[in-house]
Amino acid sequence: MELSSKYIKNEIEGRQATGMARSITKRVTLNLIIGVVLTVLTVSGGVLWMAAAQNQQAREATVTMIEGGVSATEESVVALVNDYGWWQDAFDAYEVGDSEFIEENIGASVYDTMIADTAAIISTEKEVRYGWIIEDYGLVVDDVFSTETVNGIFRLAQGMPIQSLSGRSGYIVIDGQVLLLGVSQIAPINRLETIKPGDLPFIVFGFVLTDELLHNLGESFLIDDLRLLLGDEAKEEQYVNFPAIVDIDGVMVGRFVWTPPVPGYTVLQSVSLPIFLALLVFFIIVVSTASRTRKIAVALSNASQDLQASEQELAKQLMVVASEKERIEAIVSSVGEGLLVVGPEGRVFMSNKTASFILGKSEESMLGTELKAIFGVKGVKKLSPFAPVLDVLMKKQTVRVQEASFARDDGEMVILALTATPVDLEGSLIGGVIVFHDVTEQNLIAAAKDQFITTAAHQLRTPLSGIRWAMSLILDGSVGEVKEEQRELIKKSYDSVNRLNLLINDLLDIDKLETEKKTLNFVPVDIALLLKDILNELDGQISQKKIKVSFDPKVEGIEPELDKGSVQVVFQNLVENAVRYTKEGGEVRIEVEKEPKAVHVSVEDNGIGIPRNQQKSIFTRFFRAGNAQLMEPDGSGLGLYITKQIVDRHKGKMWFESEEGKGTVFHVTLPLLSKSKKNQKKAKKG
Amino acid sequence: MENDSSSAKSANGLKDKKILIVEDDTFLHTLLSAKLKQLRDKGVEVFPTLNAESAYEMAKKNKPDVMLLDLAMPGKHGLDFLSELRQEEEFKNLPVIILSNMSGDEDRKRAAELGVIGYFVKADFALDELVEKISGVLQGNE
Repeated sequence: MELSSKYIKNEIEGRQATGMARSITKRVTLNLIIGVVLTVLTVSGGVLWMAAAQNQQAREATVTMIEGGVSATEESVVALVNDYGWWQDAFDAYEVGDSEFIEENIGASVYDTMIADTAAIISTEKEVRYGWIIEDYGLVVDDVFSTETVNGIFRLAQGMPIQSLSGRSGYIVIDGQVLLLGVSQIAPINRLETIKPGDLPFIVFGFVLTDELLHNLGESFLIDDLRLLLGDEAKEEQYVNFPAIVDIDGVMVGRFVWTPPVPGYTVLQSVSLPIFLALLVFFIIVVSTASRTRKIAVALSNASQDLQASEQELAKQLMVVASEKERIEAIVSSVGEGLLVVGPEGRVFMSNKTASFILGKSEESMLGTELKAIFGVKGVKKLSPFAPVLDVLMKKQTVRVQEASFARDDGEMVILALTATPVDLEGSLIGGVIVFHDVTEQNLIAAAKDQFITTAAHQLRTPLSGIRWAMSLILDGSVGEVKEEQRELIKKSYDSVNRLNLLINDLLDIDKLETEKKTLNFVPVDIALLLKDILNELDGQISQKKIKVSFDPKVEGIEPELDKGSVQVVFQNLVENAVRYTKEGGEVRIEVEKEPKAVHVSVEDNGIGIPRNQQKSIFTRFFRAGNAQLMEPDGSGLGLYITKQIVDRHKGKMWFESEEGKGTVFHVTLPLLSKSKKNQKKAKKG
Repeated sequence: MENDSSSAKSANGLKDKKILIVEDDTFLHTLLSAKLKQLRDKGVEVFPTLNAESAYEMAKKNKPDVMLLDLAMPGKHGLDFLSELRQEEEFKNLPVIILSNMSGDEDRKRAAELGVIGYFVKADFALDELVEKISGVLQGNE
């Protein structure tokens, strides 16, 4: 449960990390874009504002300069005309009507020197006495000095003082051309005090404001397109700041206009490329930074996602491992057998409840503790079965101990049966699993059962013995003669008692085989001698049936290590059977041979044999072949079963060849190896 | 002829030999007694006892030449009795034949350790075999 919540937490954190990476990418990119835009806007705005301000300043200054220039021009025109006005000779010639003088000195002067484009002398009666026009402009005197113009000139000159440098200027428009008129009066310098201004004629010089003139004027103020704009166009809003031209009647007729100077824009134009390049470089840096940031963020995000994925995978695996571990622990804990798992260094790292219960030790006290320390029991013999177990385990061998005493801490003795299995992982030993269970009670029951069987057998045998002996005494005449008829009955009873006795013996043998817990007691057994003894014991029967016995121990003195008591049962059964199921005068042949790894005993007879269809059952409990039953009704059917069991327990082999009516050969081999191996070990130890 | 040979045998050493029988079953005593008559006829003395205690007294008193010993008896177990008896010098080499229906390996092994010269399971052997064995012992053949 902890893990799953941790998993979810990791998942959330992982998602948060990914989200953060994306968010960082977005934020950085956004910041950079805003930075770029703000920088561009600020720089551009600043530059444009500076340019605009510079332009505005330049425009205002230019207007002022042009106004000044125009004003200066007007004043120079006034001064020029005034120069002529103050000329005594000219006044005198006018007074007397000396046209010639006036033509030569004023008209020709205008023509020759081209100091003005037009000139006129107007009488006080508003009569244009003299008029001159430079024809280049296609003007005619009457048009230029029309009545309206003359009236205008008179209004212009009204109140004009008669003195040096006095004069007035004004504009008129003729045929789309603007003329600047300078107006003065011709006055006699030497009699100024006696002359009334109203009696003096006017002298007027006119200048056509030609493109060239305006151009030259403009150029002196660094303007190359100073020009005139007339009519309604001049009244448009865009020209309102340009100097106006007002004619002599006081009507605005046009404006001086030009392209406003744009030094700011010029500067802007000149710096725009470097600024653009700088901005471009900046932009590139920004874009690449953004791009790199984005890449880093993406990489981070990917890494985060990978990490998240890894964490998720790890978490999943951990959950799997955890659930697997829980399962194993649940299984181990539920096992009804005591279970201890040790590592290669012999320390317990897993145990279960049953183990704690049986050993009387808590799981905590066992975990991490050396097996030897747990089971090393003080002061009691043969009580630490686990210590040698570990040694054997380390040799990668499975150990089985059928009975091992263990003293619990509470003083109770328990008997354990255990199996220790090495755990091999790809060839290397990683520890061992020890499974055990408490067989104390089982052993007690088994012991009680053994005791019961022994006692029961004894109790059965004792009265049987009495009956048997008594019958035997009657039969052998020890207690007097009996009638033949009685004798027959007693003989049959005697046989029955014997049969009963044999059955008891067989049952005891089986019980011994099946319940015997202890290992076989191996001692050197002289097989030939053993067989001789058996033949001796059976001598009575052999003689009685006149059976010819040949016993040929080809090798004397073979003494394999065997459990003598049970091996005796083996050969006793085989020899007895051979004698029993052979007819009078038959033959029994016993041979003993030494094989490389075993001793081979064969018992051959020419008796009744075993029917083929019953051969496979011959080693089955209580089985008796049909022909054997006919011949010898007595028999438990346990002899061969017991024999086979004993041979198997010695890891020997037993088989037979038989033909019904011809005879049987039983073969038994018992291993010799155990003896020689044991001797070798002893020799090494010695 | 038969008598002659018997007297010859008796002359060979059966006379005055003593057999101590330790057996708790009186019926078996009766039967053994009947069977051993043939030996008694040759001068062998038979001393039947029903338990270890009386057997010990009888042994001390009569110095038997052979003892037939049952194992499962009320009071003392036959082998425990024998074990004690062996502690005494005069009985260290007393020939003892176990005559019992106890046929377990443990008993057989212990009996062998105590130096018995025969182990007869009552239910299994023929009485003649026993007589033969006893005769052999008494005549010094075994």
